[in-house]
Amino acid sequence: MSWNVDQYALIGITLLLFGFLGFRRGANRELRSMVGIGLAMLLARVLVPNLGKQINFLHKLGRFALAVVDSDPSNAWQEAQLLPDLSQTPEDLQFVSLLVFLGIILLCYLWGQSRIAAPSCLSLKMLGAVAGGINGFLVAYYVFPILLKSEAVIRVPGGEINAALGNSRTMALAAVFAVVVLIGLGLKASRSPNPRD
Amino acid sequence: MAPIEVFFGLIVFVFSLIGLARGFLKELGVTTVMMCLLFFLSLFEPHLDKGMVKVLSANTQFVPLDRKDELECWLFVFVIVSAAFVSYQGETLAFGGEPPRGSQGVLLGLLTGLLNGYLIAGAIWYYMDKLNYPIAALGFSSDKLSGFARGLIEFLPTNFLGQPILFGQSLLLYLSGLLIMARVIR
Repeated sequence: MSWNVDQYALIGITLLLFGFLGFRRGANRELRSMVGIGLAMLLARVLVPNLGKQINFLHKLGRFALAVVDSDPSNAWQEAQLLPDLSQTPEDLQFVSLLVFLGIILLCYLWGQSRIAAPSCLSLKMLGAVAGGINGFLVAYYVFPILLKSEAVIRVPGGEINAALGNSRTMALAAVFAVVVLIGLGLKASRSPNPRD
Repeated sequence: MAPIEVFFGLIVFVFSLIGLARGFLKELGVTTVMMCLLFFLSLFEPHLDKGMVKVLSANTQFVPLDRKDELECWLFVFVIVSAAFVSYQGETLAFGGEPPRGSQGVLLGLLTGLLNGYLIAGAIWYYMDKLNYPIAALGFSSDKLSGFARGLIEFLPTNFLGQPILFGQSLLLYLSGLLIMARVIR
């Protein structure tokens, strides 16, 4: 048995969820998260493809360290050498990049939550909701193409979702919303020249 | 010569540093001017092209017609650089008030500077690409572009923000309107 999920419904739910998070967290925190998501995208795309060898080496080193407790080092090292590589295919690396991406985002969210003040007024919350929606779009843009490749019980049209997210107009709209949040937050944070305000 | 994406990337980086030093409110004044300029350029570009052909056809003894693209490209570069210079010079176009302080001020200044760098460097790259890199002195050509640079062309401001979204009008118009409104209200 399987359910088919409309691609716009899934994108909509993601945006709503992140928008709600943004509303609760406020624009100041969400703006930092946005920068964090941009950095995470960059790091996950640039660094992870070159990490395959290191991941396999560290995995074998770890297994060697565990095995050396019970047997002699040369045997333990030989056993570790015979182990299959942890990261063998491009899909494995993509999964690692997803973990790195989500890890950095989680750190950014937690850092913002603990270090930046909660929103003090409704306008900051509303701006936060818009910024949260953009963050949701960015996360979906990176995560969905990796996650929605395989068949599942709940069948989601991965191709259509990726096409909808990768559409130039959708990205332009997201960019415009990001600029609007930037302007709104900046003007809100600046002191007005008019002393009455 | 460095690849075109490195060249323009460095320009954007320098603008982001300038944004960091000048602060959010001054940078927002530059954003307003550049957004409006790009909108007007995208509107008048077809007419300018026709006008250039007419003017050059009538004056072939001074400038040959086959140098039209180069001349047009210089004109666009001159207009964009002049507008950027005018909007950076002085404070008349800056938004009033005191810019945000602390890490928030730094971040906002940096991001707005980045946006201005993208608008200025991206617009110059767009017109160079559109006219097939006619300024030979810069050493760029469409054959030498890397895959990454080709991928970036779709995201240059006039291509990316010039797409019609609502009522057949481009995002540049809506963003310009929004910035002018913010400036007036401020």
